[in-house]
Amino acid sequence: MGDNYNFKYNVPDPSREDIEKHMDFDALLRTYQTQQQTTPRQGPSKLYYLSGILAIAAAAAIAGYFFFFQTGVALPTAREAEATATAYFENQPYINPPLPNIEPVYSRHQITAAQGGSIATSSGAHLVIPKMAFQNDRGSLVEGNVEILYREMHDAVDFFLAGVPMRYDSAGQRFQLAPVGMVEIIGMQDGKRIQMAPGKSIDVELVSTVEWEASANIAAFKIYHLDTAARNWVYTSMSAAAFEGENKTSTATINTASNTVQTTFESQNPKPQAPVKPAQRNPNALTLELEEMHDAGLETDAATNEVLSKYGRNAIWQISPNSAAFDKKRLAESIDGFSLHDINGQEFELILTNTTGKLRLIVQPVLLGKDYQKAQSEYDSALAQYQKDLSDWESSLQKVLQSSNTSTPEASNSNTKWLRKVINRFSVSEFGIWNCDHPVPAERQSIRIGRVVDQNGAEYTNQTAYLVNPDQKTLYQFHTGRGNAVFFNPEKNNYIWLVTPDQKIAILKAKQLRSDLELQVQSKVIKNEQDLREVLNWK
Amino acid sequence: MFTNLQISRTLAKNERMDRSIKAVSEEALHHEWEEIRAAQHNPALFRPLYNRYYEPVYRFIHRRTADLDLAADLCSQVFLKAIQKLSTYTFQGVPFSAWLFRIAANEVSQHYRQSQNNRIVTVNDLHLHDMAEEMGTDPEEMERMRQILLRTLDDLKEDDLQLIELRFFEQRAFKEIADITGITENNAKVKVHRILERLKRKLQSSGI
Repeated sequence: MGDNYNFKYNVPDPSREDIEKHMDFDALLRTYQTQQQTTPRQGPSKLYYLSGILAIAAAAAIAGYFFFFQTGVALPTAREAEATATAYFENQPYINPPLPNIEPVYSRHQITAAQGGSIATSSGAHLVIPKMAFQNDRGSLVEGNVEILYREMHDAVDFFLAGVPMRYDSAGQRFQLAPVGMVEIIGMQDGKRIQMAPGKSIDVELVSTVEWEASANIAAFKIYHLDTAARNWVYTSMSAAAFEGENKTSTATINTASNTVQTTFESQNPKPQAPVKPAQRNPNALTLELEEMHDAGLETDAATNEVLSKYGRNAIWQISPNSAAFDKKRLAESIDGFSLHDINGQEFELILTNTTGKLRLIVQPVLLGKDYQKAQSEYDSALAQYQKDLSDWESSLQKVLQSSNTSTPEASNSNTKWLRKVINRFSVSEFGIWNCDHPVPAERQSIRIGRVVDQNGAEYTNQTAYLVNPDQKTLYQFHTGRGNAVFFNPEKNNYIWLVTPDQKIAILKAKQLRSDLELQVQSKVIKNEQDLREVLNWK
Repeated sequence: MFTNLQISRTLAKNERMDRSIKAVSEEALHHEWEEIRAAQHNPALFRPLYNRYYEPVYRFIHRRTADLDLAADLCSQVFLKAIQKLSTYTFQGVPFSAWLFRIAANEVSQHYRQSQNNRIVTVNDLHLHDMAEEMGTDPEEMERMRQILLRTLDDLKEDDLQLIELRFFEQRAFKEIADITGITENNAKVKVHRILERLKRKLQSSGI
């Protein structure tokens, strides 16, 4: 100990869990509000009050920017309202079922992890699961019986009950996802959730009904995975989709035709490859100096040398959280050689060998500081280019497929939309929510909310409301705060609803929306999905 | 061969390099300002800021107290003061975190003034290794140098020690140090350089 300071040496850092158990924003807010109530407020002097009024009136007159309501409260600016809405949604769970008393219904299927297997659901979906496809939280492969939970979500009521946001932000543009079919797949063992093992995937064949042009035989839908950590949907691939109908070519024929056309197209126009997102080092993770080990003359094969050379000396090899648990003492052993094999473009299998055996780890190249910033900047540019190239590529593919459709004898000249059965085929590499989708641009016309009230005069100022245009198979969410923008289609009947504090539904149906939204609270208490569909008149 | 020593050196190198990644983009600053303005209208909207900064502020305080519960108490005070003073906060182009760290530093100082205990400073080998490297001293001499270095640090004024703490013990960029202490980035660099020169002279006079 010094004379002036108390030096503490090698004090362990508190864990995140240690810290989080002290976090309590609600208590802080209560303390603050209590203090505010007990602190006498000093009213402004008359002169100050008058000058304030004049200043506001002048600003309103000049800019035409403020609105006054019957209450005399100024509408927040659009930016302020947007910031309030953004903060509100960021503060909500990303998946946020608004009626938590309505439990989701899953179909449950048993398989043996070591053997894999296939599942056929009552909805007509098929899942093909490879053997040894699962791991536990510690990264160890799971054996024994595994339960697969499966459910499908097809319309706005399903999306609403699931609490899944349908907004999709891509390259700075806002879209609404309009699913052709959405599924949730969960793996459980002994009541605990398990994960997909790296490099493994489940093949899904999903049957759904979609309103689509009668003449189209083949469709290409996009597959998105809901990334709850990043709080956004992530585009993963295109589905291999085919319509199925009595007056159409048989599925087999369609598949063959579409596959041939698509294969030819892809051979002539290679699909753009997504750039690999650089990863930043996690200061809490162990890292290995593979370059130094290589320089020290440890035995490596040509493929490993190629990987090391590709990532360069700036890359640090960090042990992935997906790596199986291992005895860290083994890192202190002398080793004779190592090899690196690409697992999924982001992670590599590292095998360290010595006389006592092999140690298998999963590692990922990560960067630091300026190296990371530089790589991130390069990635951003490459990603923007990739998204543009991919969009162009997909448009070209669609044109080729459509032209292939119209040239078949079965093609009709009619553009009438039919309700048609479609089969989507795609692979899922993680458990969670997956979506076969046809995104639509967000509605353009908007109003700014004055007040959201019900027929009894109750005002809803700080909660989520929902908007559906029945012609779009999507669900909009918006914040009911004053000044916030609500986007809608003035040509269609827009359904707006919210959940009242006593778990009832308040609804407004209108083409043209005014700034004050007056909803009608329905008397029926919502106990299940059927109640909700009845109240919304949504079959 | 690779050993734990290599791993720990990699970690040390990584930490040093981490200094440069704490810059905050203009876009992020403006986005955060929008959040602050929303919270100025409605204190309940302070929650995302609280969730984002609780951990860094807690760690900041813990490094100066080495006590989990005390750090939690002081951290609560910091956020209570922050939410109380939020209406006076104006955007000056520096991250909101810098404002919170300033409040935290004041809370810590006030705590030590009231308790009349010596302020705790937490150090470890990697920190001292970094300092030794920056002073051009052979880090391999660390074993011999540690006690002398701590004695010389003990002679520093509070403000100077804080700069060393922020720079070497917390691996912060000069820009961030400037934001927290309210001086310019250049001034922070010059001050740290001068403090290191003084420390180096003292070490040399001790035969290091």
